[in-house]
Amino acid sequence: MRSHSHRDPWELSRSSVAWTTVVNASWLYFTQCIQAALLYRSSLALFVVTEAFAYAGFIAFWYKAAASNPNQTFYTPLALVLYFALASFHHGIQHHTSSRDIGSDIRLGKLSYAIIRPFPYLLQALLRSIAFTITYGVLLLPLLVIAVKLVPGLSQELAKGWSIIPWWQYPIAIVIGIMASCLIRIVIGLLAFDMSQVWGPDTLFIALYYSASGVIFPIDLLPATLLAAAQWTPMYYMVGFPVLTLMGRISNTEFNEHASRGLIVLLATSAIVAILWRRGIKRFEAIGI
Amino acid sequence: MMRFYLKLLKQLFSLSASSMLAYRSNVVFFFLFESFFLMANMGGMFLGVNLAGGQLAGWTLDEVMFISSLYSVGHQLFVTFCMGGLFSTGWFVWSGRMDYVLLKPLHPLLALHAASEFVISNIPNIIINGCLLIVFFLKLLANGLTVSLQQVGGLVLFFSAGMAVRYGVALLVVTPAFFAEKLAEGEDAYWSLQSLAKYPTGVFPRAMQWVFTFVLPIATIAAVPADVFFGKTSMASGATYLGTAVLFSWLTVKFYELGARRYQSVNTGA
Amino acid sequence: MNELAINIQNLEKTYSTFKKDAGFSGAIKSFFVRQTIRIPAVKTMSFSIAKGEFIGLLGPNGAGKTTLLKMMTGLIPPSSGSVTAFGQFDTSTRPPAYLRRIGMVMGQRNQLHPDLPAIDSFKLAQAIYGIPDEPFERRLKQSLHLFEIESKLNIPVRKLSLGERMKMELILAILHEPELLFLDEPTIGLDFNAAKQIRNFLAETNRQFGITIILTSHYIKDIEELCKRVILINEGEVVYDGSLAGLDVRVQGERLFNIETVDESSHSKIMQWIASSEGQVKMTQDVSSNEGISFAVNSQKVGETVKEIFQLVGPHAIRDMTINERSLEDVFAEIYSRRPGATSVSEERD
Repeated sequence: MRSHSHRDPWELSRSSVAWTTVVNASWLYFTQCIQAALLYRSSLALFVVTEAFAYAGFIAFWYKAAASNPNQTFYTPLALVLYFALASFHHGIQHHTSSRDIGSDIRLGKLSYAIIRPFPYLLQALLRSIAFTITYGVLLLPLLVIAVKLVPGLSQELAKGWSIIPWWQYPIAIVIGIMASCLIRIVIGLLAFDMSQVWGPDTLFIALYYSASGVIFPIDLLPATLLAAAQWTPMYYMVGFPVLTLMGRISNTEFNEHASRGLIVLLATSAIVAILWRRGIKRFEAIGI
Repeated sequence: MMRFYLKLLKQLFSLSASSMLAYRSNVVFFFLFESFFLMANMGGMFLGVNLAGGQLAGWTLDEVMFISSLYSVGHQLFVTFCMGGLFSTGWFVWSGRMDYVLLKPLHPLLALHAASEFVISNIPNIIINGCLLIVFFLKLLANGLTVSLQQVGGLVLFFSAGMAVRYGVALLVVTPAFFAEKLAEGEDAYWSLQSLAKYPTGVFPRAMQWVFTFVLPIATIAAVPADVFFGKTSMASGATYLGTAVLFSWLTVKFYELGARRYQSVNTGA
Repeated sequence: MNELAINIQNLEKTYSTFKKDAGFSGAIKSFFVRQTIRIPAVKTMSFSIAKGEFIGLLGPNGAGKTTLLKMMTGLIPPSSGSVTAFGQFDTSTRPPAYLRRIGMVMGQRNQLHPDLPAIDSFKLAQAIYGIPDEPFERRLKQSLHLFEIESKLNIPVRKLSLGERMKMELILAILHEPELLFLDEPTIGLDFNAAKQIRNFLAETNRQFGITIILTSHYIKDIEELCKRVILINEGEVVYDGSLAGLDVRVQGERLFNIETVDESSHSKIMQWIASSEGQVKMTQDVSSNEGISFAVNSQKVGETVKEIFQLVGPHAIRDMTINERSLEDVFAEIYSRRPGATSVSEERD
């Protein structure tokens, strides 16, 4: 049965485990991950303060850039402020170290404990990522609300975007974004089966993320070909897609196109997860330090 | 004494090279990572200055790119020689591995670097960014820039002070790990704070400029050396920036020493 | 009197940590209002260790052994009191001159670089401690030979077995020829042969170089073979400080009775008899009705004790009775089970 279960990376087909058990254990594990994150207040505080600081700087730069040129109409200074306020929130909630956690589980042999349990390891990894996303979401949302309320005109700018999109578009965009973030990190983590160290691919991912997500510059300022290329990577869906959707900068037709590409990207990433898991688990040496 | 430190440095290089080359793919990944990172940063600056109509806060596109390149060279030097040790602090304290570090008969920071590695794989990126800096410098020369030997000396001096500030910023965000139950966010906090150093100081509101000059002097990392190089700052201001940078770095080292003294070793490692 | 390696005066250590109620609501509550608790890990302790001694620091989990060891090295500062090393160093300030003279190995923590062969970590230690080439090579060769692991020197550490890794950790700790070596459970998890080799290595190191060694271990074999003096710690206090021979007298000189009775009244009679024995008979564990009574008596009084019990309850009231020699574990367990302070045992030292 075990060898059969390794063919299914999420191991949900494992007949010995009732789905209710998986759901209950998942819920417990999920809430415990949130609890663990909440225990370390200073970590959370440092993250929130420095991110806020960095984004204040970003916003100042881009505001100045937009305000310096009265001839350009692509982004008003206020729209740029909103873009980075929303980008910082989306960047913040997807800030987790799943790839390194999975990599160290594999490299240091902790995966041994996980795979002899009748509970799917990858589901644990996925739940851990989502739990951190929600924790940071809860922490950062009040800051976003305060920023939107305090900066004159920003709430109107946000309302303007929200009023022109159907209500369901943003939830779809954010779910695709969170899943893209979790899956790509699982892919990087699973490379530890082959590579011994995953911080190389992990840092490469971060660089690609900066280039293609829209976290350090408004993604739609990119030339059309580069923007189209970015839309075939998971990174675009992590920040750019939900932010542009929420700001009403994507038409309904474009939204459908982007969301479809996003789903294809998710399917492709899931397939890579499956391949890496099947290959990796066969060669797992369970070496521990 | 000098011989002792040189021998230690040589051994650290050797160990780092062995460790990095044990995983050959690291070299490739680091090269790719930094190339994309460079493109993203430069691309962002280019898009921003373009949006502003080709000039921002009194700086031309080429001058802004020069500042960015200067920032990138410092960034690569930090990644290569400082990052491995400093960003291990949170993990070492939390897991108890700091025990062995603090038992070494060295300054706690030197012992920390000795217990970790230089990122030797990143050396090619220092060279690439250095070349980029030269390219933008030559472009500025072609556009009529004239620089004296004194200005070049000023650039080197202030750039060194900027490196000390980088190190200080990293110390500032990793040291709380000694006082907290767990603090693994130091690395991210550092990247967030120093990311603002690549912009000309003039793009920020006055209050932020003051903070970046006198409280958290990240302006000294790239903008102030460029100011000195282009002759945009007076000697008096320069001396003030320099003094602030030295004071800031010294205080952060003392902060780290205090943290090391307050270290409470955990009993169960992870 | 020998020169002192360590002198501990009124040493105390209290940790602060926090409590969190179970579950999600507990996490939310703890996020906003945190209940700090203070844990006294080491309560007032004073003792000294002479140069060249091999000391066993024993105690149950959480007794404060590792905390004490870390205060001796200077890793953590004491809450009050002092540790003076070699008559001149206040260890809490971690003076480099002191750190050069000590070594430490923690059985549950690694110092070697996991991705590289041990030789690379050894070379780094050579640079850190400024060890000249000749003594470095000599000591490394000797140690590798003693452990019979010459062939493992160039294999990445993460590919070594636990035993091989621990041997390499020990070599790393003694390369700079420390005068004082702290060992925190160095044989934990090791097989018989590996543990034996490590014990031989330590005994040889202590004998040949006169290194003062302070060892914590849960394995009686380690203590029996290596330590002439043991310090037993329980709940942060010293409950025995003396020679192992002092404990051995009790092992050799006492017999352990275990009696199961058929009824409650016989059980009670024996308990009353023990209580009225004025210390001649010592209870060794808690008892409950019909579960058996354990007690120790002087080995000279075994026959007399059997006779008295039979007279007291009659042979038919005894379901089972065993009489054994006591082990060191039994003696330790008995000492640990006492309330520290009230029943401290100490032996006069030279």
